[in-house]
Amino acid sequence: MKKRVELTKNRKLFHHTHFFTESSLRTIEAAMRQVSAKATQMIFTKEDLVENLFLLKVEK
Amino acid sequence: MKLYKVTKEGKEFVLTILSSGDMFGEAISFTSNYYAADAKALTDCEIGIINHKKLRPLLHQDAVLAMEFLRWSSLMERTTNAKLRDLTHHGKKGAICSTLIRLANSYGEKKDSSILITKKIKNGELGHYIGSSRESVNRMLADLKKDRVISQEGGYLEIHDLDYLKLACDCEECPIGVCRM
Repeated sequence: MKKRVELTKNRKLFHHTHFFTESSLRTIEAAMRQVSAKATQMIFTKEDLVENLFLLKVEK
Repeated sequence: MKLYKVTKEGKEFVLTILSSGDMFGEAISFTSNYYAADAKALTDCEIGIINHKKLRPLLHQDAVLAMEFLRWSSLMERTTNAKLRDLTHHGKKGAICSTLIRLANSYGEKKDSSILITKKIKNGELGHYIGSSRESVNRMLADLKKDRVISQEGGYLEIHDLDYLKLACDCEECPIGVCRM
């Protein structure tokens, strides 16, 4: 991951992910960490995408 | 967040635009160690990251999670197949018409007799979605404006004749969850 990624506290932000039920999300949230991405400053490379699954929450 | 590829010549091709609640970095994880695209944040956002090594045992343990993951993965595959069909079967005109429909489904705001696309989009950016130059997009949009299919003001596109666009790309009336950016 690029160094510009800022690690934040792991909060339960993804309950509205429309693919997963809340109980399923709770299962994976325990193993998940969370980052904030600033517009246009964050790039995930192909290597990042091979190794990780990403769940997206847009702030606004 | 956009998933995109860049050719050796520096030409960008946007594979998909992701919004809140979407996921990426998925299917390849179980079959290969190669992923064909990069991802870039377009707006401020927060992202949950789970390493596939941690995800796999969870899928083994939680059948509900595994089924939901499979459902999502199937939906993404269907979306990709539909997009591929739209971009390849009816030339560049079909590709831009289908992209306009997708934009309307993802960012459209229904008005009396039209659909306003609330995402400001440059012609060059549209070209990135269909693998065309800005000049080609300019020409195609000019034709659509002349036929009063669309209008464009202040960088915002408005669709006046959705049926025309659907006809041009032989629309199969896929659900909105599939026909999206």
